[in-house]
Amino acid sequence: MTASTPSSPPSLSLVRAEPESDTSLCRAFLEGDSKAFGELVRRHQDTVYRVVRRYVTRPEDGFDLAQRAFLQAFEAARRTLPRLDRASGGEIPFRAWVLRIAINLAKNHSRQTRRWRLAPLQNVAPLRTEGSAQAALEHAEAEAMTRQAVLKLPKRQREVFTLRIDAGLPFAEVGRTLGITEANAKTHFHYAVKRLREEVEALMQPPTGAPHAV
Amino acid sequence: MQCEDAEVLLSEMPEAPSGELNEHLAGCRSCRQTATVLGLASLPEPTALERAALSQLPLRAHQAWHVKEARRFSVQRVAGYALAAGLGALVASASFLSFRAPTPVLPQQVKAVEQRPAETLGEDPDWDVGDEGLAAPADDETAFFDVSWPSLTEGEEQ
Repeated sequence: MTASTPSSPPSLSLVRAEPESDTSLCRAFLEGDSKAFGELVRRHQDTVYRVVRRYVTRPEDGFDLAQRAFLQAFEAARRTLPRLDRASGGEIPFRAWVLRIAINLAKNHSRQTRRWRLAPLQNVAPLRTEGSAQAALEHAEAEAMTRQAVLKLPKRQREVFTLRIDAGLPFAEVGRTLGITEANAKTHFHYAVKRLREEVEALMQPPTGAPHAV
Repeated sequence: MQCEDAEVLLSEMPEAPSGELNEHLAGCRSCRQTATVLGLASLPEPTALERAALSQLPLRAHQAWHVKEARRFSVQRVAGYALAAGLGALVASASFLSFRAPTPVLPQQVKAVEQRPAETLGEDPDWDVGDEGLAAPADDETAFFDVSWPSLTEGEEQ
């Protein structure tokens, strides 16, 4: 037996707690931890709401779509978890799932309600008051037309544009979410912007060939 | 800075370009149009009312999940009961069929059948052609033709 030496008191150091991954939170919830559900929803609710917001005309519809997207993502996680456990790694791409589900739900919602022609959330947007009233009205009209043009983009371009501009995801994550490469996502974004520019330019030009008054 | 890089930067912050991007925008009309379009297309920030409602989303979603789960369990329970009832009915009917009293076997009925001797063409008057001219006379040897093969001993001297 060794002689005991006077030991110094243990020093305490602050260790920054790493945030739990989506996979571990999802696993914890499916094993019965109800707090993990709220944590996951809180973590992604803002992004999901920003994505579905473009497709709805009322904020209530946006909240409803976001909720349904989360429920379907948890359902998908429960179905897939046993298979993922068997595979090596077993990471659940929860954020990508919930965003893809949200985009699909929002698209179906706008198709069902036939609201393509309405300016989404136009009533929420504050009217810009700098300059003259005429300029403010023209700006509001241009915004509404541009947002309509976004909804008329081809599917993939619209998805990339929404995830990039509304959700603010980097192109690499846009690609992961949609199952395409980062370069492909950038290409789709470029074509979407090009198309929007053409649409806006066509809208801004005064109509030509109007019949002259006799 | 290339226009492609400017487009990527503009997509990050379409409302507030700065630094090198501003210099590029000052000299590039195409990128200025891109900035204008992105500014027009981007949605306004969520209002305070929307943020307040959004903060309730975890609770609402959790309640909806519980309702959904309860409905799923009730559907599973009803389906289980229905399956059990079906299996019970199947087992009961099978046991009923196997253990029920044997049905009495009726004695076979015996029926007397009149048996007649085998009839030949010659005896049956219905088969009698009745043409007298076709029948060859018994003593007419010219009417007999032997068409059989010759026997093995034919022509041998005895």
